[in-house]
Amino acid sequence: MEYLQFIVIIIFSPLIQGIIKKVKAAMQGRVGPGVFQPYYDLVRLLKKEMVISGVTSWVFRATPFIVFASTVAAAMIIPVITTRSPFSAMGDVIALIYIFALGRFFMALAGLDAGTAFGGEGSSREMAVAMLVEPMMMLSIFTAAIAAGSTNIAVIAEKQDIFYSPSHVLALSAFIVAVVAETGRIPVDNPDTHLELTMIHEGMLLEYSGRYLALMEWAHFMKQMLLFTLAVDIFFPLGIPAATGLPGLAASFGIYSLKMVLMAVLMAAIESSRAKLRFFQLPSLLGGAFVLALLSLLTYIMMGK
Amino acid sequence: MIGVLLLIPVVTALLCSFFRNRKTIEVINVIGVIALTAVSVPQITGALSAQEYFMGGVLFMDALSAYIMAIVVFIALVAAIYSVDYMGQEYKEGAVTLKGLRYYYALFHLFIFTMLLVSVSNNLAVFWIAIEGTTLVSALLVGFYKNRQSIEAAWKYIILCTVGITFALLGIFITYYASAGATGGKGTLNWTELREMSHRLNPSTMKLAFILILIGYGTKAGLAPVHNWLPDAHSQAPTPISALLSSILLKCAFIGIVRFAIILNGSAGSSYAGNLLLIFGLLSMGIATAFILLQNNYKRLLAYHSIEHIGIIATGMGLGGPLGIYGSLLHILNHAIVKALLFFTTGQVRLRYFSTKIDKVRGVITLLPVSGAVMLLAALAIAGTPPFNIFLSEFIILKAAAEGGSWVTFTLFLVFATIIFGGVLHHFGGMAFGEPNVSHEMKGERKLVSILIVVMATGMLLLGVYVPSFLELMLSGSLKVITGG
Amino acid sequence: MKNWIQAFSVIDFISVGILLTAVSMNALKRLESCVKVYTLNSWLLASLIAIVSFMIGEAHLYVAAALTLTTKGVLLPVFLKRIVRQMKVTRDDEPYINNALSLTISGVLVAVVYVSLGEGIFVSGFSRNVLQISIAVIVIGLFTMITRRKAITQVIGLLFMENGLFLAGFSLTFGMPLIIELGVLFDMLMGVIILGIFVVQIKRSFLSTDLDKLTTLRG
Repeated sequence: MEYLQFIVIIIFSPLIQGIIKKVKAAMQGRVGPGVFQPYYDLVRLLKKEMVISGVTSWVFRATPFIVFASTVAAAMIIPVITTRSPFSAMGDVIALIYIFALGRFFMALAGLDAGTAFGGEGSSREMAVAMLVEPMMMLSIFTAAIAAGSTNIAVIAEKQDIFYSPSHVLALSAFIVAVVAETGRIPVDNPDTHLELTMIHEGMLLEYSGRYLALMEWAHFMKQMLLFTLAVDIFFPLGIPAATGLPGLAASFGIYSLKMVLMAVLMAAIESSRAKLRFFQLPSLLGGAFVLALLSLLTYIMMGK
Repeated sequence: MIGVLLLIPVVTALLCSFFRNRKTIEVINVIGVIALTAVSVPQITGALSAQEYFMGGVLFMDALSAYIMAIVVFIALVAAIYSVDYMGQEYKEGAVTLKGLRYYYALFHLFIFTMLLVSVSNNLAVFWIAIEGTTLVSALLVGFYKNRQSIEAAWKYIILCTVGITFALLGIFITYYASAGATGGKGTLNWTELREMSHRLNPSTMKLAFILILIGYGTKAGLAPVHNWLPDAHSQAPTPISALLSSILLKCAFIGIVRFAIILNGSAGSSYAGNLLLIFGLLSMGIATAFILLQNNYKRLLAYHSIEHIGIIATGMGLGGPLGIYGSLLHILNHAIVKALLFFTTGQVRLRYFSTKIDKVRGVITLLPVSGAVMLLAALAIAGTPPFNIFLSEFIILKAAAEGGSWVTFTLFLVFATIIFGGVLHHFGGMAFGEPNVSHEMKGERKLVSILIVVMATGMLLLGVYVPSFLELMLSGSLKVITGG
Repeated sequence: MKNWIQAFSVIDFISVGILLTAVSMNALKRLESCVKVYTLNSWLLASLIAIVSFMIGEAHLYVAAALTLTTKGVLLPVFLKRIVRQMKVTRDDEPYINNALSLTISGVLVAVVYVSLGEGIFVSGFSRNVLQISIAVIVIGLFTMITRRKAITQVIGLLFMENGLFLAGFSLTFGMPLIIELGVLFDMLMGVIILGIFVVQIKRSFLSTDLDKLTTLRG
């Protein structure tokens, strides 16, 4: 059973996206699409014919698979509903960030490969943002890692007894900014628009269609859910058991779903209450989050908790 | 009695802001300072024989306070009398309104009040409050003319000094902490208590506190490298205020450092504070020397002289030993008299030539015989020429350096003094002699001012050859306070 | 109640909040937000004093907390807000160092302070961390004063320094005797009012609130 916890991510990630959209719509006073809409979209895309530009190379065709596979790999090493995953020995948080980086690298290459202006624009922006986000994300996780004495996510989740301290809150706030940036949400990126001037993530996907687009989108949903999972694993591990039995896992699943829904609501709230920043204002936001992460680390070292 | 002494300037200030007649205000102003002098004399002589405490030990007077208070009262007296003439002329020329005049005299006396409070406070925090009070009041006086330059000067002054003094407050907090550690219970900020328990205070804590105090009050005293506000403030303030700033305010702040050094010496030995004071003293002299040579504005020139002389005072204190401290204390008085005299005479020059540029002023002796001659004498005095008083105190400090074997200090001191001598001769010689470059038609010498500056110049000369017995008494008493003998 | 405060490390949270508000000052451009952050900082300071006095049962510290709240938390912000409105300048857009960099620098400053005070000479007080935080706030306030261009932001930087100073004094000694705190607060209040007067005068005579116009005096 515990072998299959990554299946949870694969299956439910579109649902999380649907929930976020629904909550956002509710907050903005709209009805919005149903929570299962992402599934319908994926199915529709999978059925559709693909149009691939003639100038593209193998990179363009390989990228959807690499991105999807790397995201699934990430899902396998992260504790979702139990910390006793058979792959958890590999569940290093730095490895996780690098697996994400691999997917991002190919996505950026694919964006450039088609040779269109928007793809290149999206790629360069994505890399610029990544350059700022990745160190900040690592730094914010380090506080928890030092507290647990390990960079293994399962160990962090198990040892996380200090649930409530200033360093934690600081690290969490930095991490949430990192999640917002990584999932391409307002105020960093706008997931709902294809406005050329502002798009980052959507820019890289612009040339994709049909099955490939479905894979890319799905991978993106999974990445989003993985980041949420990482957040709750590190900062709110309460209720994630080391147990492997069916009843324990079922209870854990219940708690986990609740946490995911809360994360979705939080994201929707952030998106609804903020305006998108201009690209050149991003360093200020991300720099601020970096300082938060730095302060978190310092505070932990100083206060010892 | 101390209450009356402190109340007099406050009441004078209130009355000055209350009346709406120029003559009345001026009379109140003069009566105020005369009353202050009259009340302070018995107070000062009393404090010389025995320490006195007031208001539950928050205020006190020992020989050092008496000495500083004597200087403050004396300079306040002459500056208030000089103000009547100087500000009166400014008023007649329309540079100052009646409202401005009231405001000026009110702030003038408040300024005196804060400095008197500095001289008598026996509590480090009250001392701090008083010093910050001097900054606030005098910043308003520096910005008195409300033109671009004076506002800029006032802004720099208040920002730099407030930031500096923030550090001093941190030093005071640390002292309080150290004293709590020494007693094991409640801390104290009472200076006399701190001095008595000084050998029990943690030396490294006190060293840190001293550095913070040195930064804080050093900014206010005009020690380099945190002197930047000083030339601006001195050059932009009304002339009598420049005299107050230079002659007594800087010394009041410096006394704060000295008082703290006394505690530190009991805790960590005298070499630590002494060496720091020596370094900053020599640095101030060096920096001032460079700026004095290149200066083209005589009020700024005088301001840089203040930095030089506060450097000399710090050097004397830093050298330590009875001779160095004695010379340094004497220098405080001597510099106060000479610098006030220089500001007063150049004030007359400004009123006549309408410029503070050195090259716009020629032939002062021809146009203003008394002021010009006194200005030249005072300039010679400030450069350290015998037989004037500054020579005497500088000589004592040099002797202390030689006896202590501090040959580096000795040499640097002499080099700076020589260069400054040349600079002063060049600047003031140029101003005093030559063909006047303004109209001869202007009104002549002011009688009141002439009498005032001649009296002060006589004092300057007398103090150069002989130290009167009451001064000797104050100096030896202050020396005892500092060395703890 | 006391157990509750300890269990949730409320004191740590408030002191980190004080640090955070000081750091965030570097990221703000709107002058009103700067004033707001300062207000928040003062409120946190006052509540910290109140909570500590509750923990150690010192009644006179409540007065100190109330004084801090009224002067730094209410009077000064109201005064600053009035000046900001009067200036008709709402933003400090071009600091000498851009916001992202100055944020990072202030983070580094905090690190330097923490490290250099790591094994300090101070051992007593209710929390060594609070002393480090207070020194960090002083340093950041000074840094703000150096990097900002507007007169009013300099004043706010100065006020942050003073809040840090109060926190430092408090963490070292559990507060000065009350009469002294009163005197110091009064001086600071007067200081800010006089600075405010000069801010208005600078605007009037230089037709700008930028301090780099203040270059008439040299040498």
